[in-house]
Parts: sequence; structure tokens; C-alpha cells
Amino acid sequence: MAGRIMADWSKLPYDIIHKVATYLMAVEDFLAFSAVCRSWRSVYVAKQWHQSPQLAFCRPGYSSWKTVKDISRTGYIDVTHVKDQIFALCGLGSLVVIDIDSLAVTDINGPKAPEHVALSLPLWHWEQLILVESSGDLWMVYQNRTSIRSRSSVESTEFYVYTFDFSKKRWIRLSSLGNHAIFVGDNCSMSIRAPDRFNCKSNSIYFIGKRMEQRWPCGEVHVDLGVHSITNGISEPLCFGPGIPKHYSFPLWVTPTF
Amino acid sequence: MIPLPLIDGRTLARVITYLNKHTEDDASDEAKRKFDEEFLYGMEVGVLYDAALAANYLDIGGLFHEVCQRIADGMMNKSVEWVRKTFHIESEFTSEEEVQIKKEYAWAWEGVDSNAD
Repeated sequence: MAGRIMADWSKLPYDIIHKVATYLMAVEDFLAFSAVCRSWRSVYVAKQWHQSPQLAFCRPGYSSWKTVKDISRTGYIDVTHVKDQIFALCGLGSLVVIDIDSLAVTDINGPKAPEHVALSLPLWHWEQLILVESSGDLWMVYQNRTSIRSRSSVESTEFYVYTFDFSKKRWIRLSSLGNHAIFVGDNCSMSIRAPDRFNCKSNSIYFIGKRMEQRWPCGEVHVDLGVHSITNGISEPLCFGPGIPKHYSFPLWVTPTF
Repeated sequence: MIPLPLIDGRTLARVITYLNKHTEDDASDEAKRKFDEEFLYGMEVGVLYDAALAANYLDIGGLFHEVCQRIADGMMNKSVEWVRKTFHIESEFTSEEEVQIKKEYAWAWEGVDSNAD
């Protein structure tokens, strides 16, 4: 009987290496994995580009949607409007203005999204960037939903909020949201001034997130509702009592008209 | 008789055991989960390797996921050196590359398990 060849883990097929890496939820584990050897390093190099969404625009009277040109060729992360101007964040972090009539795209010509210990574009699959208009200002919310080893094994959510300084053309980190609360969700984000009108706390971020079930059987998506306090950096779940459907339906934030 | 040249007999036997359990009509989800836990628990590194390759080659989704999850679980909170030692991997990085990688992610090397060197 022929002798068993010693298992060579560095020569595993790439799809197995990448599959194993997707089960590492802590960013330190992911980075350690990618530092083990050259072939495992490919998971870092192949940092996931989310299906870079494209942008399209439509108005009543148009016969079809008009696509906005992807000038950076990296797709668009998010779009919002501030004071009658449409702003969009490109896949590699540059900020652009889009003219509503011609759909011409112009780069704001500032530096890319700020450097942060875990923020380098393109984003990891546990990170998210959202643009929000807030009382005439342009804000950007960074969300990081990975578990960190040094904290408990429970998944934690970090939030950082930035405001765009139009004169200096750069993003500036906000240490407080003042008398605002931000509501982020899937496809719907807003900032509300004086949130206590709605029994919400100021200087907080209310979030609706999706959590993909990573363990077999995969694919189950859970809704994650919570509120993050900028004051103490702690996130708490939002409970609505029994009966709220937790699978396959995602609540949206809406503002009452009163 | 179908020859499968890429899988040895022992691994194939394990795969068949897994499939038999998972296709049992009267096995509840609970029973299957319990079986998976015991089946994969204590699998040696070499066995996991063979199982991963076999499940991938034979395209058995459930087993592939379980094995990859098990491999990933074993690496949680472990240092790069520990992984290299346990999985018998030689890093082919040059010493300059090592220094560069360590510098970039120094913060990620803190707070690792004490048995992880």
C-alpha cells in the first residue's frame, strides 16, 4: 500500500481556502488567516468587491430610467441629496456631485474616505458606508459589524460618523451628533433633528441590519434591530415584543407627518 | 463500480456515514445536528483535510460547510504561528514581507489565546 502523502494545507484549492475564510467573523482571525502563507493571503487580496451597484435616475414623464455614468469604474456605495444637490460616494471613496438634468458627474476633488483602523476601500463584507443629509450637512456613517476578539465573542457594532467640510473638501469625524438621531437601514437612512419629539434619543444611531446565517444551513437572514449610543459607544437591541416577523421581511424607517 | 481516484477508502467511508445519517427518513434536524457535532468533533487535522477535499470534489454541500466551519472554528483566536505549526505550513514569505505584514496588522496580534504560540 502506498504511503499517505502528508496533507499540504498551503496547497488547498482556492475555493476551499476562501470558503474557510468566510467563516472567520472576527477581523483579527481573518487577518491572521491571510498572513499564514502566500496562497492563504489570496483571501485578503481578493477582498470582496460587493456587486458595485450602479446608479439610475427617473422622473415622472421619463420613458425609462437613465443610468448615471460610473466614472470611477468602481460603482456607487450610496447616494443622497443635500440642499438641492445630489451627492454620491464611489466604490473607492471619492465623492461626486451629479447634475439632476444632465446627469453629469463631477468629482468633488477631495481626499478619499478617511483612514480608519479597519476602513480601507473596498469594504469588507461586514462593513457599510451610508450617506445621510442632516439639517443641511452631508454626513457619512461607517458601520462595522464584526466581532472583535478582545471584546466578548458577541458580535458588536461600531459606528463612526463624519461630516463633509465643503471648504476644506474633506471628511471630519464627529464626536457628537448634537440634537440629532440617525436612522440607518436597508435602503433607507435619515437624520432627525430633535428626535425626542418621537421618543427617540439624540446622539444615537438606530439601525436595522441584516445578519446572514453563516453556519449551515446558510442563507437564513435575520433582522437585527438596535440603537447605538454615541455617548457611551454601547449598542442595545430594540425590542418590539413578540409577533414581529424576523425573517424575510425588513422594516423601513418612516417619519410621521405630524 | 465507479473508481474515484482522488479519494482514499477511509475518507470515502466517512463521507458515506455522513450521507447515510443525513438521508435517513426518520432523523430529526436535532438528531442530525447532534450527529454532526460528534462526527466532526475531535477530527484530526489530516482527516479534516481529506474530508474538505472529498466533500468539495463530490459536491456535498452540507458536509463541505460543516468541515469548513470546523476548520475555521479551530483557528479562532489563534496566532499565525500556531496555525502554521498545527497545519504544518511553511510560510514562504521573505523576512521583509513578514515584517511588513506584522507591521500592518500589529493590533490584530494582541489578545490571542495563551496556548496559541
